[in-house]
Amino acid sequence: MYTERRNQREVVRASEHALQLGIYPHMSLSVAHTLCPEMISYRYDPEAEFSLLQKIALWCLTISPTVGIDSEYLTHYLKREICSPLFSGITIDLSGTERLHKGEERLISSIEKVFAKRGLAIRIAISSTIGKAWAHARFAPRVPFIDTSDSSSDTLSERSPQSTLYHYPIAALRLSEQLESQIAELGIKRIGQIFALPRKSLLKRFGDTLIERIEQFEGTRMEFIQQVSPAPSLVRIHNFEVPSNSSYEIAARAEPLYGSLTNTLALENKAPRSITVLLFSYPSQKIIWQRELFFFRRTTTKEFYDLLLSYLENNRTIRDVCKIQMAVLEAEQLLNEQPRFDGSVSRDSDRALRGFIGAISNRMGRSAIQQARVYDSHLPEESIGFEPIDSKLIRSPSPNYTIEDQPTRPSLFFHPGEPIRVLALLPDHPPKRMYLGQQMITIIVSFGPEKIEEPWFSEKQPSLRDYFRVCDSHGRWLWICHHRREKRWMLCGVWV
Amino acid sequence: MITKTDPTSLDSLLEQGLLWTPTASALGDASEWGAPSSFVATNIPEIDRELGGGLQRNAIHTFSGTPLDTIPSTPILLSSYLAIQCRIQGHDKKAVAWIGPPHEWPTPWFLTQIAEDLSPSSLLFVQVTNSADLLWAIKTALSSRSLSAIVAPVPRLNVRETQSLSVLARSGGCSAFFYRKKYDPSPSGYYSHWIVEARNRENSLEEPFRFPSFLLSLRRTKGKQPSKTQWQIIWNNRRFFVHDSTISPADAVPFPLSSQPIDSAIISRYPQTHRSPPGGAIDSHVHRTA
Repeated sequence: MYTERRNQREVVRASEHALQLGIYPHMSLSVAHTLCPEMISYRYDPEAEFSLLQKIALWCLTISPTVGIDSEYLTHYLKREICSPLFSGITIDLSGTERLHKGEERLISSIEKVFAKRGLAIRIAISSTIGKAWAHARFAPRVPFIDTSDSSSDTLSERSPQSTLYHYPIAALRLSEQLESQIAELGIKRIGQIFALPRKSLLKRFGDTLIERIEQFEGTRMEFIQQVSPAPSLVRIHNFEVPSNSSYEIAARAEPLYGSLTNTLALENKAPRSITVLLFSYPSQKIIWQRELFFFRRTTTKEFYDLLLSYLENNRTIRDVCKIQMAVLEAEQLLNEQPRFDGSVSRDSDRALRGFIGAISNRMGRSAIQQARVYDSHLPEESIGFEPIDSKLIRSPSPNYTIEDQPTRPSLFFHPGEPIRVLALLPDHPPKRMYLGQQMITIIVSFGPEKIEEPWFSEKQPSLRDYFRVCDSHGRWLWICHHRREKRWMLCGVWV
Repeated sequence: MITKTDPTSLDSLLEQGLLWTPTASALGDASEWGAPSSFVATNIPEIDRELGGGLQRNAIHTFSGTPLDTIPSTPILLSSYLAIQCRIQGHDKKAVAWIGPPHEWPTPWFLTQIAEDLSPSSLLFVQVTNSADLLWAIKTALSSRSLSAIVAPVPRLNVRETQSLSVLARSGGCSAFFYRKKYDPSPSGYYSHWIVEARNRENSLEEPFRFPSFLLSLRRTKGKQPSKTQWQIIWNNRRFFVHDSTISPADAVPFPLSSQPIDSAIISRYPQTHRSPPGGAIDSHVHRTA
């Protein structure tokens, strides 16, 4: 896997086979391709990697209640930095679970089976401290590794050249790359070497970070696991005992599911914004009806029942429904509704407005209801726009429009406009006659041109435009544009 | 207790003070106690005076253009202007909705010219692609009780359906302004029918015809018919006003072609907050239309 850094593709993660071929992180992707022409490369996706780690951590909750993603990985992820592949790991606290798993060997073999079934290679190590387990899992010559030595009696084992830990590299102490290189400059390459040095001099030279890691490794300094917790399930399923054809029954069964979902979200002071409802048919178990429902305000179960029933009632394809599945797609934080001091919109009308927006969105789609926007741009097409409505906009008053220094602009605007042909007395002069399709329009008055140019730094070649305000023989006022570079004329707007 | 009195005698209940009848004199003007007036003032004094205060609120009005137009732009913009006035003059400041295809929505430029302090959150634009959705959206909007006005193209309906829409508008407290390309003389339940025609002026270089102007005609209306039904309206990129030949062109066109500042004659002559009282006295400073 590669990422782009300073216009260069750089290897970030490599498989075991690739590592054996001499491909390693930070290597240029082109060099890696030279070493292994049949190599397959993908762009590195940190979100996907984090998501996978999170999923694995959540599964590990079946082993022990205390499971966490390695803190070094989380620190890098939150800073949007790419960390070394060494740091991506999961820590499980097995204290007190020995009897449950009937032995550590048995536990390890069952875990390995689960991962092997999914095609994932893992390295497992069990030790008395997080630091030691971390080091064994990454650097032990043979995995799975079970450290049978007792931490209290074996605190100095790493100082003995006969110990496995003595030969581990400095990186086994979970140090940053910078600190690791500083230590390496002194010729210290093994853990045993660093443990032989007096702590006082280490503290003076490398600061507290190294001492902290050493003490955590030994188990003399406390270390916490940043525990993962399963997100509340936002999916509800109801199985019918007998397949149903009645829309009333289906809506009635769906109503408590919606109530359960809203209650779950209410614990986090949230409410559903959009929900998907799936109906499955008997006996094929295929989806026969699917609908996304939008809510722009707190919706009661009764209102949900009425809404769902309105869709189901007129749908004759819904037959033999054996299962309802409902899932929250989007939830939003609810704010405490306070009456507005300015009295601009009463609470009742605000609630009614949200109901109207919800009704439109549910029938015609979320993008069917829009609001106008004004932007700061000298280009007409970029200075105004319409965007799908946002519930936050309904809730909070937005900045008002301003018309200061606004040039004369049409009341209806067409972008990119209707192509027209024109006749003018002289080049660059306002037209005297224009053709819109087959219709000939005689122009009796014209004002302009208003010259507008696209910014020079735009990607495409900036166009030079002349806008004219013209009045035709019928008294209609039109806004026409001459694209000088492209040599074409467009009808861009109409006044009254 | 009311049950102890004779229920057949209404007069006795009134005398005992058990029934209260709010009279016009007791309540005063609707605007004084917070209720919206039954009229939407157009803020064009000549028209408001003739209509007895403005257009009927919570009713449906249609505006037709000329068949020549590809898009009925003038009816759309006049409808939009009146819908905004509904919001401005209503005490509850409900939202305004435009229902129709996007190329028939007025630009924010135009809306800001009508009212500077409008919040975008109060203006909703509903995109419809077929006539079934159009009619459904209009019905939903009229009955939602959350909108002060809607602007939409006229749906194809029979008389009974237009009457049911009018009932919805009245009960939902929402005014509707419908526009179409061509005037339809067939009977309907709508409150008033207007025709808007762009003016063909050969002398368009003369002020005030350097600005868009059009002829507004009232074809049909319920209730009392006004004595005058045609007005020549000018849109000076800031507001609508009736062209009056007694006003000199220099006074009539303050902005932007004239050298006069924005707060010149015509603005002071027709202040934006002006409302003609229903059946009230005619303002002395308003000139009659030629």
